[in-house]
Amino acid sequence: MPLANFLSAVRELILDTDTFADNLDDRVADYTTRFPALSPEEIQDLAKITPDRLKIYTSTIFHGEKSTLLNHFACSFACLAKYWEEAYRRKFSEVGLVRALHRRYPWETNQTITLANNYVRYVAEALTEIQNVCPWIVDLTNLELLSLITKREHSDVEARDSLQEDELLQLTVEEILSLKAQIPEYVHFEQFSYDVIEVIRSFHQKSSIDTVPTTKNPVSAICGRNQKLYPRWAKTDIRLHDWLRDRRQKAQIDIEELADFFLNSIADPADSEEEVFILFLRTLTSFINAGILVISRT
Amino acid sequence: MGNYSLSALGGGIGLRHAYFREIIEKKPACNWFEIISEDFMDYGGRERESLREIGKHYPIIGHGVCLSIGSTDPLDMEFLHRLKAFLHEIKSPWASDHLCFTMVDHTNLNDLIPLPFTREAVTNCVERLKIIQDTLELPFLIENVTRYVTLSDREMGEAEFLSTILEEADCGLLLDVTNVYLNGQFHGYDPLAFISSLPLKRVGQIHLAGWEPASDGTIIDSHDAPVPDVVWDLFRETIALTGPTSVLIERDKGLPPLSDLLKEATQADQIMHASCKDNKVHAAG
Ligand SMILES: [Fe+2]
Repeated sequence: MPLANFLSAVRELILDTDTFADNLDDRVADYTTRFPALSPEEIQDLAKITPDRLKIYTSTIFHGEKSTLLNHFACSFACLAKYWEEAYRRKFSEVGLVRALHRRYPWETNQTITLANNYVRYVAEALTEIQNVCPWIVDLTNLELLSLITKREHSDVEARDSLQEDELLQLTVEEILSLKAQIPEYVHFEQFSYDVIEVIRSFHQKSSIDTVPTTKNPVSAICGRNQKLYPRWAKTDIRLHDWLRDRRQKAQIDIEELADFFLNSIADPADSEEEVFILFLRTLTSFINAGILVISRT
Repeated sequence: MGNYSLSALGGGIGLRHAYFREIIEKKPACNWFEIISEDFMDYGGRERESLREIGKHYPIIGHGVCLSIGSTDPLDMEFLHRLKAFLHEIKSPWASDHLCFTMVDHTNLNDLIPLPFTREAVTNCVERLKIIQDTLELPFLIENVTRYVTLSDREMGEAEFLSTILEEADCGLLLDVTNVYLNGQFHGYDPLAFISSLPLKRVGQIHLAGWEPASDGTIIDSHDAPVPDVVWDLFRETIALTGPTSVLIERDKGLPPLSDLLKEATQADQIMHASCKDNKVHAAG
């Protein structure tokens, strides 16, 4: 279909052409070589367009993609900006990064999540030099991606449907142990090699990168969403993380069973029963507040 | 009823995330809201829940940016069916998207790229628009886009291209008055003459927006400023020709306080009603 060839040439001129010939005849010669499927009239049509007009699209497209990524990956973009010169001996350009991303992994769907996945993959596979300077960057992009996914997931239950912290604290031990909980569909389980939870917490407080991991420190974390439906991460012991992950498909989890596991596998045997129960309640409320566990009121 | 058998809702504004809380809590007077369908349709969570809440109190109209009507890639039927389910769920009385292409070679251009004004492009758009309308089972409007380039006008001009597609596909027109004004500036034509040459009985909705010139003086259709007087003037003349319709104030960047946008929507209402009073024929329509 000739129209397909024409639109394809327009795509190439807008997305993948860095330099254009200044005058019409040179553009005709250039396009004739590059787009052999086009007719001489179609070549003339394209050559008549002054390159600065085409570049308006190039600029709006890549600035648009940069804004979309910055919305969801503000913290890792700030890391790239902070460490780029040290890694690559040149200034960081957000739009330059997005253009390089497009060259390696073109955006193949109309969905933001594809662009987000491409970015995470690009950082992991193509930006190896910066990983030498800030090795936690790959973990950080994964964390931001999972936050985005968690934020937008469909779910029948939400954090606000749960028995809340203040209600929980008014119950007797027996009443607490008789409760049932559910893990909503939006919950994600992840293990990071570096403690990037602290990087992102500090970034949200200060809007700058100043808390960074100095060594590898594996962290198990669970992402839920709070009562206002914003993603929230809770760091947790790996055994508890895995125990919950293995039960995420279950319709109901008995709090008594969870408490037993906590007591027998996680608690310090030197602690008194009361100390262990206080610690358990603290963990349970952190899960409730992050929307990781939704506890039924009945 | 307005034109193209659609309700004339008067002035409305684009629903943006920054306004959710204020709209939910204060329920300000507004005739209707337009949403970018793709910003909501596949998601749960806060966006969807806020939309559901706002939809209890206001009409919501779905406007799309991803159908890529003029593309030669196969129509994404799976996407179209998801869009249909969403539009019916939010009870959108009609739907719209742009007369342009946004994907080709399975690559997302992430912008509204204009089409060559050729017979072949007309045929392609008409075929796809018939499928889109049959699938969505809703009145469907196509929007004229701002264009910084003319890809081809050997066979016909933009007005003929747009009019032919509207007639052959039998769909409605979302007339973006700002886009016509800017295209008039970029390509040296009279915006009102352009509008007058279109099949105006097909207008089902109007868009109005403003722009802030870049520091180097470049003008793009940036939706980041109030509607300027030149566009209000063109709107006044346009609405006298189309009769009452639904008029949307588009703002995507540099979002002002909600009350400022609502004032612009009220201004659109007032101009529309004044114009219709002056023109009894359309007021009766
Ligand atoms: Fe528009």
